[in-house]
Amino acid sequence: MSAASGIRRMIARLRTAVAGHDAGDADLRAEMESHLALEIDEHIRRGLPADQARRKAMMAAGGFTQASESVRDQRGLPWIEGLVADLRFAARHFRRTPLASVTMVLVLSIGIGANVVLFTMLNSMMTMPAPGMERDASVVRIRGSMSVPRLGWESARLMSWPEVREYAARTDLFAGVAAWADESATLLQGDSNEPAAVNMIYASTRYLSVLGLRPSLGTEPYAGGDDTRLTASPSVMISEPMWQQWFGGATDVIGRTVRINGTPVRIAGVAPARFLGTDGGRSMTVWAPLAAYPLLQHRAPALFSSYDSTFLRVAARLRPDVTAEAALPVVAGIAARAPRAAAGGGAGASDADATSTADIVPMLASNSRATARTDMIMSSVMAGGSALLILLITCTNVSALLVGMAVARRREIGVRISLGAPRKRLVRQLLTESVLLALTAAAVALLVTYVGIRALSATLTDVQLVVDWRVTAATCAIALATGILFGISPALHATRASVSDTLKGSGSSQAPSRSWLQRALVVAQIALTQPLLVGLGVVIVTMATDMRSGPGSAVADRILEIELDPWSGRVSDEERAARIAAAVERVKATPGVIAAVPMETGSVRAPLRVADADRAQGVMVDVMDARLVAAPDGYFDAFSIPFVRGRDFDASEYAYPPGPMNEPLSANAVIIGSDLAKTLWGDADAVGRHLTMPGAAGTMTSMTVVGVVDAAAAGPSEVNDEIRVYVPYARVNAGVIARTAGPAMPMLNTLRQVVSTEAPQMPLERSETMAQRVAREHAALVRTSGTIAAGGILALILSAIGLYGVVASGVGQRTQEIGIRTALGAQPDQVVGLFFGRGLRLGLIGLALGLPLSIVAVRMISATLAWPLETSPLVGIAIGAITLAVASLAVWIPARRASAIDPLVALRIG
Amino acid sequence: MDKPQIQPGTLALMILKTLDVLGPLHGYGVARRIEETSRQRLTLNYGTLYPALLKLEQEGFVKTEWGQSENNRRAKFYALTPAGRKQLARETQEWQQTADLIASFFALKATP
Repeated sequence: MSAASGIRRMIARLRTAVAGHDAGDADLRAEMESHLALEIDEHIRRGLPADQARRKAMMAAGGFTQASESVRDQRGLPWIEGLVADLRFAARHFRRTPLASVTMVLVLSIGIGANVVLFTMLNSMMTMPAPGMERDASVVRIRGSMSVPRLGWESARLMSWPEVREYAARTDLFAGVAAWADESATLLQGDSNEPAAVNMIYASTRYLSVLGLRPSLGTEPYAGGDDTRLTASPSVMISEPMWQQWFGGATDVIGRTVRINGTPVRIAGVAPARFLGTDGGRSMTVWAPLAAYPLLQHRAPALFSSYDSTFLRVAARLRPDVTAEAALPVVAGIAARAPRAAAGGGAGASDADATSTADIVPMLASNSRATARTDMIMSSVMAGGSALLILLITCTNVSALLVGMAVARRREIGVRISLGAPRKRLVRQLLTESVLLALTAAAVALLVTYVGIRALSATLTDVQLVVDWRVTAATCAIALATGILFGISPALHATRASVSDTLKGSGSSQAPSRSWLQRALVVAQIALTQPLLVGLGVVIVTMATDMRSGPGSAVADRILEIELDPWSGRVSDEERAARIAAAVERVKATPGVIAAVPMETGSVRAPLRVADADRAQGVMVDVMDARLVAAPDGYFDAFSIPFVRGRDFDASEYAYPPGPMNEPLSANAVIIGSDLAKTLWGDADAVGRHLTMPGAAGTMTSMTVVGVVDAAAAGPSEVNDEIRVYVPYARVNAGVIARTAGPAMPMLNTLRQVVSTEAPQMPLERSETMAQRVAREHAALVRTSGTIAAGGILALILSAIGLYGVVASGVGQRTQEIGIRTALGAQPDQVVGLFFGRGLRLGLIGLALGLPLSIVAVRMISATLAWPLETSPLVGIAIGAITLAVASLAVWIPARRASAIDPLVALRIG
Repeated sequence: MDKPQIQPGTLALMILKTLDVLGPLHGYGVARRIEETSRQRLTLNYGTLYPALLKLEQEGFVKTEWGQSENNRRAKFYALTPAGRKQLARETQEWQQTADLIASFFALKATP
């Protein structure tokens, strides 16, 4: 047979496969009839009687149908034709059962998508550096830390320039060492006189080469080549977003001048795309030479010479033959000799027992979180665990649904077998269906993954998300293989069943072990969903309560908040206080402003007790975790908070006491909310009573309650186990709060300029009305809790589907039994009750198992996030009720269907 | 005596040779000739004959046409194409070679 004939034959077969067999079959039929006629003629001619001639010819023919089948196999492409027929049949089947098919695709695809997204986040954090940087094992961080082993206390530590020099001197280990200081500054571009806050990175000369980066435009920042001395006027490198947003991406940005904290500097280059520093960061970032640090941040140049001035972070490039493990002892040794200097001025750092050390870690996003952000890693590890959980749940549900569907089709399969369908053919049919379903799910899963990754990369700026396609493929493969396996395994089982059994209906009971396993998985699923939901619910409730704890929401649109960055200008404490005070006075004097008060930065927390003499009978009050809120002159007026008893602070109390900054705040007078007064002293007058607070060196500061304000206007005093008391002054003020007569929005620009003029050294951090801030925070809360809630709802839906699958397949298996019961007089209610009760029992067992898990989960979240949670049992009860309601619905739908079974039909076909 | 099975691939050659010698024939004619040529040692039922004929047609070795049989019945006639003639020549040669080869092995005798 030549190649040409092979091709001719293939074309002929393909043509038949497309056009169909009808014409060929008719032709063959005619041909065989003619053959038979000719043969009969021949036999008759030889003298046989007609009937014998016919019989002899028929015997020689050997069966028309069989011959037709053989010819058919030759004529077309049976394999492809079979596949097409199977696909057509599968599509028809899915159209007939749209709900089950769509559910299956959704369960599979959402399960896969959620898995891949979670894994991608975790994996990217563990294996990739911050955005803009390449993965390079030889680039490492040298992380300093301080610890007081006696107290089990540990904290991150910045490094001094002499210490960095010691690391750099080890050229046997390091090909290069880079150090940088993170700061913030005001930037003025061109003729604009509106300062903008930017992130500053003052980097040593080796910075970019150690990190393996080069500017995407222009050159590196430069100040003469020396790290500690300016020998040329400094030039800077700006971040890519800054170049795009502030300079319109123009290439002539190189050479332009901007003013940083008032000092003009030249732009030398643009940073690599997406690079915002080794830890990710704000998009508006400027890199300046380390030598320019004293000039631009108004610091003394002497800071480079002392081991005491620690302000640097360090990265290094290892020599090719050196491992991080080998370099570690050397680094730790150098760090141990470095004098014990405070990291960020933390109180514990000056402890005499403190030891300093350093370690070497790869330059990965996960360890940019030196200590404070370790919690993020913890939560993503938890996310990694939940990824596996979701995969398990997905597979379970898919199997439950498919088992349910297969049971429903058992009769169909039985009928087809009895009509002579070969078993192979049936298995192939079901396999086709499963594969088709799986492929659709895979396509949707890719879409889910894409959307999820997009959403996540918008939220996480310090991680570059890299989708690991091998893992994605593996996850898809596991989930889809489960789908296919469970899709055909009931088919194998069903086709093995004897035809008569299936048709009679006695073969309709499931293998007991499988349904037992299925029920157990559903119970486990509900039990695991419960803690997830309770945990998420608690987090959401906590965020929401934090939101409504602020005062004065009734006048929020008449309050303007102008916040400055108090640190970046490097002004002295006295200077800053004076500037803020002057700004407050100027704002107060502006027409349209009713009141103006300084805004404090952050807030101070302190342990408070009720003085022994003032304890009310029967009220057991232990140490309270108090947040001291500064209420400077005019504060209560500004927020329209009325006094219920007592008075506001007086002039002598407002005066900030002299003393070192790191002493605990010690005010002698406090004002409390009416709700707290009621808790502590009931209906008795709170004014004149005393609270005590531990002061410096073991002393106790006694604070007298001078006034009680209306809790309704001030917001609740107690939020998340933390009480709020007002003190007359703040340790550091960093802005102005203004109360305007009319809506505050129109005055925003005027007042912003007033403040900028009075405090030009401090960049504006934000300026908005309180209503705007609340709305913004509210939106953020809604977004975050929406994401969290979506995860929880997903889990709930998945377990509901599992429950549905179990009950539905139970109903399918017992159709005949239901028919008999109904025929014997069972009411629809009783039938519903039968299945509803059984299904709900699974839900209740799951809930009961989930309850203790929920408590553990809340404790774990609280501990890992170091976050006091609103742990009201109400949340647990509410979540339990929701879960129960959803479970009931999932059970009720198929149970209802059971009661709708017509006994006649059930008995005839069941 | 059992009737011998038709060796795979040999039926196509038999059909081609029959058509080559006798000219266009219908399916029944082909079957009859082959059975006669084999002196009734082979019988061809429809399930064997027609797939083989279809395959030859698909390969372009035979062409078909409906016509009138000698006793005025409508029948489908198979005729050899030029490609079929070439194929016959090629297969005949190959078959001859194989047969010679096998024959020389059968002629092999133990040498003393």
